[in-house]
Amino acid sequence: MKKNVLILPVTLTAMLWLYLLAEMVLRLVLPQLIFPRLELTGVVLLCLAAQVAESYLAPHARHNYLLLLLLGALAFGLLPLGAGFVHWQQALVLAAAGAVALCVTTFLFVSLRHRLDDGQRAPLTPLLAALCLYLAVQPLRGVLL
Amino acid sequence: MKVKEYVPALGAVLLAALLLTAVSFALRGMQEERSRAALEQQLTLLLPGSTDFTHRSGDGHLVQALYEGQTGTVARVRCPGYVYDVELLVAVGEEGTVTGLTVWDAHETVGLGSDILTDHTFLAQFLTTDGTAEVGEEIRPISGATVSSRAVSRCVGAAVSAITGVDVPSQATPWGDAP
Repeated sequence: MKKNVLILPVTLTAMLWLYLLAEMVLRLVLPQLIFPRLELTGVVLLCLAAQVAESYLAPHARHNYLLLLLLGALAFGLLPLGAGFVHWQQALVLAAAGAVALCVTTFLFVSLRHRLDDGQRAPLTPLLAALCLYLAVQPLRGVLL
Repeated sequence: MKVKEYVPALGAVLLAALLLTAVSFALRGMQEERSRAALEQQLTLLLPGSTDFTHRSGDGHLVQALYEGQTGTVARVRCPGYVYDVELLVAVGEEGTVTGLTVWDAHETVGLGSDILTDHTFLAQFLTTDGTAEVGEEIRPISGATVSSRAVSRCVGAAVSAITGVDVPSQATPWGDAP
């Protein structure tokens, strides 16, 4: 049970890694395409995807927000920098925004998921909660990042 | 939890970053080559009749680079858009008028400014102009996307100015002076 606290940072790293790797391959195959920037809505989408994965892997996982802040900043800062998509100044902004986004969405996601869960077996609750939050964050497109 | 127990998660992040860096380095050469090929294909489309292009550096301001062909010159121009920069390839013929243009990079608002990528009627208005055409007068802007339309117009003006040497007044992109 103790290790459950690490599942969210690890699933986030996996999601971000897959996203960046897919973009690298697509940039190679289709160089003329314009790819969307990793902005706040994209960051939130990745956080929510990680939370949905965590919900299915470990439904009763606990969260250490200080740890999330630290590992979220490292993941959002180091991975896009390693992929060569951002300069270090942009990586710092992305790290700060990603860390905060991860903590805020985790808090909201867990709250919403528990509200939506009626006590019965409800396998789609995490997906529904993530969809609600993703729609709610749409007005923030182009803000901050 | 003890600090020691965080090490696996920290290790996962560092390992993922390291792997991405390695893949990025491995693919960089191939990626640059393919990007260059894609750019050359666009240049050939924009300047029919030109096969070889000489690369020159831009003005250090809006014009990023110039590609001189046998039938004209293409300018790669970057102007501020609604949130992010808009990048265009603008072809100018021997007569000093625009013979072709395409949006090379843009991240404008989906459903509004992003139409500069697909609205051919809007882009076609710049053809045969000499860079002085203004949005709201000769150029009809995309509805609800005046800032993005002006960014395109500014790019075209800067391209013509850099290629012909004629000083073309550039329209301000900021929102305040929208028609």
